[in-house]
Amino acid sequence: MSEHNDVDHNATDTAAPVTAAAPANHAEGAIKRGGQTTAVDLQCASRYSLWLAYRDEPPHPATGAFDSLTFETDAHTIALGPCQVLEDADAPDGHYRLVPMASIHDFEKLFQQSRADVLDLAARNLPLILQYRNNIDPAFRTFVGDVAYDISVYKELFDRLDAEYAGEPEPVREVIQQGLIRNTGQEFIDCLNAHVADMERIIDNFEGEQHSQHGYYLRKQLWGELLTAPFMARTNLKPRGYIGDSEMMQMCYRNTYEGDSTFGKLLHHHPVSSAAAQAVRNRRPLVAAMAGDYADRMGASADNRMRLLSVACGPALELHDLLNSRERCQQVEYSLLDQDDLALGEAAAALGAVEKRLQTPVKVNYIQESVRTLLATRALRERWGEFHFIYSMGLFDYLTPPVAKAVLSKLHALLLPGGEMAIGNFHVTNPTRRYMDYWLDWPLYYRTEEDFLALTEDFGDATAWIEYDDTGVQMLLRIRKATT
Amino acid sequence: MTHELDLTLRPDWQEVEQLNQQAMTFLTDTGMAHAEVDTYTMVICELAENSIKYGDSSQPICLNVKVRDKSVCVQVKNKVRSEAHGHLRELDQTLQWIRGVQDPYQAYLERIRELSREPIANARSCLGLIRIMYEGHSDVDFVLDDDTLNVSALSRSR
Repeated sequence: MSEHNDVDHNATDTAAPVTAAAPANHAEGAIKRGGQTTAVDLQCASRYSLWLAYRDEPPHPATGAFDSLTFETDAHTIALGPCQVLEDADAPDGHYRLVPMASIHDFEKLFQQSRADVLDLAARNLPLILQYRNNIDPAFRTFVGDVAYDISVYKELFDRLDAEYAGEPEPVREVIQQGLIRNTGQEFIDCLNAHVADMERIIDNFEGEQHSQHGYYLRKQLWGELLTAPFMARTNLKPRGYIGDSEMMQMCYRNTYEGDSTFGKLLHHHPVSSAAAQAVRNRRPLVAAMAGDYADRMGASADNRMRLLSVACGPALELHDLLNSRERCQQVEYSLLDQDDLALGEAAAALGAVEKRLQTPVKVNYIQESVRTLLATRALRERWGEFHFIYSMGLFDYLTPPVAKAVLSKLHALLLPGGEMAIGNFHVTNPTRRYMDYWLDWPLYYRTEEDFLALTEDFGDATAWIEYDDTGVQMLLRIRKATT
Repeated sequence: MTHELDLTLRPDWQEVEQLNQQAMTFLTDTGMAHAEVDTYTMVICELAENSIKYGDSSQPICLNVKVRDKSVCVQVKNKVRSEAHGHLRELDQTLQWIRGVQDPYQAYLERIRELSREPIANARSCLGLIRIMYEGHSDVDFVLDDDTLNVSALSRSR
């Protein structure tokens, strides 16, 4: 039904890999025990073991513990500490298996790719990581201890109750869980809110990187509990490699109790019912109303379609709000841009649902590209055309000012005369800011009105102003290009 | 008050030593503390080295440093060849991932671990940029505008 165009990957050439010379797959070395050094030949036996053959008279005994092994490969001099030499039925004739007990190298990588990778590398950084707690403010340390204690008490309680009614039929379990969420669950939420308020007071005088250090410390102490809440697990683990992915947005939109346990559901619901998540929900009808209003003003029709571009579109659920009639569907041509093919898939599903509900196709183009590299496309205008309305809701919160300015400038150049933009950014006064930083590991670039308007200071032919959602957290930079 | 330094550099490694001196002099003249001078000199030189490494060797590099009361912003612009675009996609993903890790030191350690596990032919370190984020206390970001690469480092706090 859809008039969907293929995804435009905006392909560019990739750099040709450098070809490395094939490394030798054997080495000569020396193994030591006590004061005795013996020359050896070595080959890779498995990822973490070597085949060893004594070149001269073997030591006595030939197997057992040795103090060290040194050998040279094409690119590295490797010094292993204590190691064990073992008899092995699979060994080639005259060979033993050698297994290091410290500095446990990946020998496949070493011999096949000339790359030194050590299994226990992470352990070498332990002292530095352990020292981190020395930087933690004593009051904050006490606070985290109290939070961890209270949360563990509630978790244990809810887990025990879940186990008690686990054998009940599903409808019974559901009603019991709803009751727990409504009653004892509310006590837990009140307790969490009190702790978050305490935290705000304790960190009030912190500066710069103190926040990231203390947030890291808090998450480290609460890690197991945070991972029981799907939203917190996702913001902390970032499974798609970046923050604010489309599934996180969907969770905010759903604003429900999700998780495998009553405790996890309560902890999940806490952030998705916060002011910041409400601001995410508010922007959906807000941007749809702005775009709809523009379509009415321009007299959009099937013959005079309003061209819309959504940048970093995510799941694009606002399509449900904007495309609310067959007429509206026929008045628009949408371009949806996102770096994430999964997000574009979700947007396509949202559009498919609209088309099915209204029994009419929507003209849409999908563009898979990152905003940082999309500007590399020469002649964007010729490629994608110009637009009446461009919006971007969850992108600029992640862009530094120089990049935000460059991206906005390019988007502005894609506006038709009289065209409008709506660009979202969270305001510096977001009351959930530190909660997001500390508990969710979700840092943003917050802006003031002045910061936001400064991004437009070079636009000679535009009017710019600021609007807000009802929470005041979601700030919208509105730009109208001059008609001539 | 804003102190500003504008320089045009040849894409030549020998320029870095001179740049080091110029940056130190400029930053010292802004009244910055000695430790900060060292930090932001490193940031400036790392960004310039990155441009020399990945930029078009026949085109100059434009460097701009703005020092304000509460921030330091370093921007480096130069032309890049189309062969570098593949690397920029990797850089984009790496920077977004690092930005998602609030503690740049953790990102630094993790990146070193990742690099040691990559085949040598694919190794693209980005370590200089991560160093800027960790030791330089700055957020690195970039944008490719036509064939001009604009890399910026913005101090998280002063």
